[in-house]
Amino acid sequence: MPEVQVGDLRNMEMKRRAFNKLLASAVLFLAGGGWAWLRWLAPNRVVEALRTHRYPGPVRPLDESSILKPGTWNG
Amino acid sequence: MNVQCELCPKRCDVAPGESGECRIRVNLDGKLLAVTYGYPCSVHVDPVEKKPVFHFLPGTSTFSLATVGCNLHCLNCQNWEISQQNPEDVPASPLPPEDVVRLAQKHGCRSVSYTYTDPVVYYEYTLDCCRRVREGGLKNVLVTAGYINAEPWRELLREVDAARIDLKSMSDAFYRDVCGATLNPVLAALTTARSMVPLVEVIHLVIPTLNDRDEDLTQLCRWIKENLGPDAPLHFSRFFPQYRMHNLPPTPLSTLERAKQIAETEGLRYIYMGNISERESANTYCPSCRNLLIRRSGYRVLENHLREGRCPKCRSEIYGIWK
Repeated sequence: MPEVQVGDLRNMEMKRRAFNKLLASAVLFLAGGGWAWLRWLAPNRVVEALRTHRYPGPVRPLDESSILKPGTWNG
Repeated sequence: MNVQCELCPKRCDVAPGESGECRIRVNLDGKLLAVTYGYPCSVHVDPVEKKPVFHFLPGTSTFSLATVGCNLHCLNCQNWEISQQNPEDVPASPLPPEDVVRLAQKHGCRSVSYTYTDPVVYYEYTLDCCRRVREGGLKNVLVTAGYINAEPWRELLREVDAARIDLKSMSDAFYRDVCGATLNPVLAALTTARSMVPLVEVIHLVIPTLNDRDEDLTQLCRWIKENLGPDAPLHFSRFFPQYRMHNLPPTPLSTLERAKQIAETEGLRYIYMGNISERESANTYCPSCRNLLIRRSGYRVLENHLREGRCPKCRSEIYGIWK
């Protein structure tokens, strides 16, 4: 493994000017409507789904005579 | 745009054109749609004992319905042909909530049961039916695995008269490996139901080698007694190889008897054994004087000696909904 030099670590440090730049851009982003944009990007959270009346599978009329037969399913 | 479904603890992040794990909550153009709303795939008039619910209007018929889909994927599912299918593959019939009430009344049912798959996933249909059913003077019975988030659960329970909830194991690993779910939300759902619903019955399917050790059963019974109370009826149900679990044998009768003994030792008062032909196991006895209260055979009630919800011999009050 290559040995880590002290100079390498110094290059990774964030200088004060770079930090201030990052902070200012973050503040500008949020002040300029960035928060709303982030919220738009996040998925919409939903508990109740919309009631659709379009079943995607085969639809057949309810056979009332079969209702009185015991259900084959458990429960 | 994606939609996050907050109905159950899976919190599916549903991409456009896709459905959640339950297969029936679909993201269409950024809107979450309940695509089976008003389209049950199974509608029957069953004895309420078939659910099984034993402390609720014994001997009455319950109008039972289900749509396809489920948020659990139990390897041993007994109804996988409707619970683990896409709505595109299963025929369904239009039945709006107002017609559910009309048909239930027409066929002499005292209640409507949301059963067979899991009413949690067809939540909106269940909720609207429940409200109509109450307005129509009937009662609502929920048959569920209880895998749902707290807020929608509480909203639904306000309309429910009896809940029969599965407690499949006290092990989170079991829920993850066998059912594709987790334990804690189920425990929370059970305790919430106990605090909001007049009647809660618990069913536990005993599967050889997976949840049939003495420690497992003791832990389960102890939890029920401490959190739901000793009056909560508990049904031990016999496992049969099903769906993707054909590698295990049916539960021996001796295991169910052992489970019943453990439940009695832990102080539970109403213990039943299901999916077996042994007759005595489905009877209800008075926990105080051991007097026979209800004799059942299969799903039929042969004798009912209860008097206004009390034992006719010692006058002890029996937990349940009796009129």
